[in-house]
Amino acid sequence: MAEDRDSLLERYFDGDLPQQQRRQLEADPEARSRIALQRQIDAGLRDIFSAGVPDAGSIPIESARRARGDLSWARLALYAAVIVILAGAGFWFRHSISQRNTFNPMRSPERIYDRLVRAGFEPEFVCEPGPEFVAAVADRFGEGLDIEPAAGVRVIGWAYDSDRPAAGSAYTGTILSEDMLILMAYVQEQPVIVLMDRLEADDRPRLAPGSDLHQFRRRLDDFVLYEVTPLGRARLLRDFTAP
Amino acid sequence: MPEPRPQSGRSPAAPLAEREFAARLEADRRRLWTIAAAILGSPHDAEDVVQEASVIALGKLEQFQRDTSFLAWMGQIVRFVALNQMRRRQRDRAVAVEPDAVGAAPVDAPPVEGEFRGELLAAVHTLEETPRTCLLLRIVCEMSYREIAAAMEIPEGTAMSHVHRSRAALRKRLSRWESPLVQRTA
Repeated sequence: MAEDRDSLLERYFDGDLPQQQRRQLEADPEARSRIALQRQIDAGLRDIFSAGVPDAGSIPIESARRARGDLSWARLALYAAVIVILAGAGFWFRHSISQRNTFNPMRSPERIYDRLVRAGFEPEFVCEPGPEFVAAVADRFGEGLDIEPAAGVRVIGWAYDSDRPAAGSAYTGTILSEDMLILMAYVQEQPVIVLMDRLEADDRPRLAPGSDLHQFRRRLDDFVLYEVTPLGRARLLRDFTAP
Repeated sequence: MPEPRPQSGRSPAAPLAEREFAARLEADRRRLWTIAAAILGSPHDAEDVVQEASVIALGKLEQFQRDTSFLAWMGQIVRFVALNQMRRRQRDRAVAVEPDAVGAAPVDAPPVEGEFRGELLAAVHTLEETPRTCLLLRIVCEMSYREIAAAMEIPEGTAMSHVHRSRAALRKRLSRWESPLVQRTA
């Protein structure tokens, strides 16, 4: 009966079937076909559900602060440890399974960072936190974000991804989307950029292996933000707010 | 494989130290990520869910009892966060008037290559969240039924039943992919 066979099949897949019954089942063409299909399904599930990769992102520090009150140094150290663990595991996992997110030098945020620093780190559009900042974001994305002024942080303005290869080039992509905004700031007098785009445009860009820079990701409402910094931890991401 | 239980020698009543939390989180990271991906129905955003759950858990360390399963405790928080995210997604989709495709992958599902994988992902989305999670913990994480039961806080027999029925349901929905050489001809 079909039910009997299904029951036997489940015991077969669980490895609970005695050897003799296994052989009998494998000799049955219909059962063999289902075994083959189940193996195909299992392989597909492993493939699909192993492909999402814990990114080299940061624990949302702002949320942590709200949830836990003031941040002690010990707590920050823990967050850093968690970040390193997730990032390391994610890096290995992504490399081993997904080709979709492998490092692409033409799409690395370092390309933009290096270009801006080489050019003197001058913004194309000067902008300070406040209404003007919110308006600039809203003008591009339809909804605004603001960034709260903070000690040790100096927001200087916006840049655009104008370093795209010419038409006809083998490379036709962008870091995120063509709408991406690049916020330029100094943190502890170090140049730092934040790539900003709609969440739906997030293609999980990556830094080059062994890079001197660090990249942190934050998702805020319908936005995705990547902080690219020479510093060891994200400083700007936590100051973004949705007005 | 039994769940790792660090032998700290501390009283069951002593709150979990943050360092211990980080170690246990790493030990169960793969499983927690799979729980999140299973509930969301796709690997996308599973990382965000685990991170958000970690932040919540850090604020509740004193609630964890050492003589209980860390995976069950943390898994419950991950499920809570993932379900909240699912509800947000459904609300957003309703507002955005997305085409209603029963059993279709969520709009932010990862691109799948090949017709079989596309159908498989659609079939997975027809499963309820708990059976789907049990199935993926079994197949992707290769957990025993006892471990799945502990993680999901359900009886072992229920975990097994969820896996068996889910496997059978997927085979049924994907039966056209059975080898044509052995398909019935009459």
